[in-house]
Amino acid sequence: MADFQALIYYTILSALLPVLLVLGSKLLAPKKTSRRKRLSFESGQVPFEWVESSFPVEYFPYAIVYVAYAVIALAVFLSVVAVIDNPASALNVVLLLAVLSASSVYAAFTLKDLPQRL
Amino acid sequence: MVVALPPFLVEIIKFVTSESFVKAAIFPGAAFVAVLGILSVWYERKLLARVMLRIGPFHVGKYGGWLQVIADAVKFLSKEFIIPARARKKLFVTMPLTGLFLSAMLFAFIPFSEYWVIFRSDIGVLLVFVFIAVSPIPLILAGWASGSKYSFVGMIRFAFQIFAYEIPLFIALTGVIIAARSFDIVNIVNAQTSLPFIVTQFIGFLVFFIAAVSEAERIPFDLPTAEQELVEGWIVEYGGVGFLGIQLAMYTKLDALLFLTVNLYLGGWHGPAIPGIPESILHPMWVFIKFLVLLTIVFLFRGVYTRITMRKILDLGWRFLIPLGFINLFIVSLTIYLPTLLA
Repeated sequence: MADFQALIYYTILSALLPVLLVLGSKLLAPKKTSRRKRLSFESGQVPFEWVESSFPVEYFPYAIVYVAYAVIALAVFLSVVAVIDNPASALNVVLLLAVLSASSVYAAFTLKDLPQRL
Repeated sequence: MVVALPPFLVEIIKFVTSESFVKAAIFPGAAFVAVLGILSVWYERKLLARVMLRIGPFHVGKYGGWLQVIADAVKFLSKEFIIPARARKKLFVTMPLTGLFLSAMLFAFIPFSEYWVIFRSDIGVLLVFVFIAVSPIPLILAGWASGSKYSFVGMIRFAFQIFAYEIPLFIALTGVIIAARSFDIVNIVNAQTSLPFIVTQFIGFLVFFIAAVSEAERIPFDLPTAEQELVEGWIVEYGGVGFLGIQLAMYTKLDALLFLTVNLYLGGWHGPAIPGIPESILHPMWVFIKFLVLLTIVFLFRGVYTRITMRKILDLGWRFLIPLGFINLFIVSLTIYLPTLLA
């Protein structure tokens, strides 16, 4: 119970910390906004108005690989939980991990040749 | 003469000195987290200065310019918080502060001894992982909400980096859970009484530590905020209190990840007994000493390594750390369950 109380107090204090920062800023910081100040940073170039241009995103295939690996990681984790409860199923998990280790090494070699710009 | 205090004052004193409040507000709670964040910045500046044969902070504060960090914090608070015209205002303002809150929440589940923990849970390690997984989201949104091309490129890099290193972190964590047969971090530390897991799972430690450094976006994995090419990347539009919130969030997350590494791999509070020092002080002291060693290593990376390219960052995560994580898991499960299998 004491632990739970401490968690509630800590959550409140952690939420208060950003609020205190904002209050401190409200007290100390000047507020004189202007159009020029609100322009986006352009690294020394003259700011220009809104334009649209194509923007190729590289390494997007890795985002797809992430979906596959996330499911595998979850499956491994659930298997581990099962083994903690039922050590008799250890053989299945060891076999699963052997297969996953071998396939992840194979994937490491083949990922090298994955085209990264679609 | 004994003066009786008013009842409400007695109640307040009881509340302030209660175990729950002391843990939440002082140690290992809010005050500790805030002071640690500030001291980490000071320590990094002094250490890097020594590496580069400079003095570092010197003028403000008698001992090593330690008040410089406080002065910097006051400076950030007293600077105008400009919201760019193209930014999504609500997200731009709230996300850095949400990031700080989520990073601070990591400390709620990290023990410094069997007693000094804010909330001990049977699934503590999972709770920590949930906050590790959730904490980059506000920061990614902060980059997106800035409405700048530099922030956008930085945000995409940050997201790809987090994707690449979250899975190795999780797989390495699973190895520790198998070895300790528990999700409770206190039990995991107690499982290392005779031998820390860094010895039995050195590959797992390497995977976890590298992934943690990347999660905290430290050099050599700081490409999303690369100063020279992306002018601070996803943070570029932030100034004043917004920038302060992001910096505090990043340092707090780094500290939390290193304390977690100490507990998961370096035996936590287990260390040689020192005569005259009670365990209630000695145990947190050992955790802190081990943390300082890791912190020094991470800060030295900044002094000695160059920033690596995006291709190398992603290759390291996807092509090296994930297979190594699985191999570590296989070896750990084999060594633990081999007697059962043979029987």
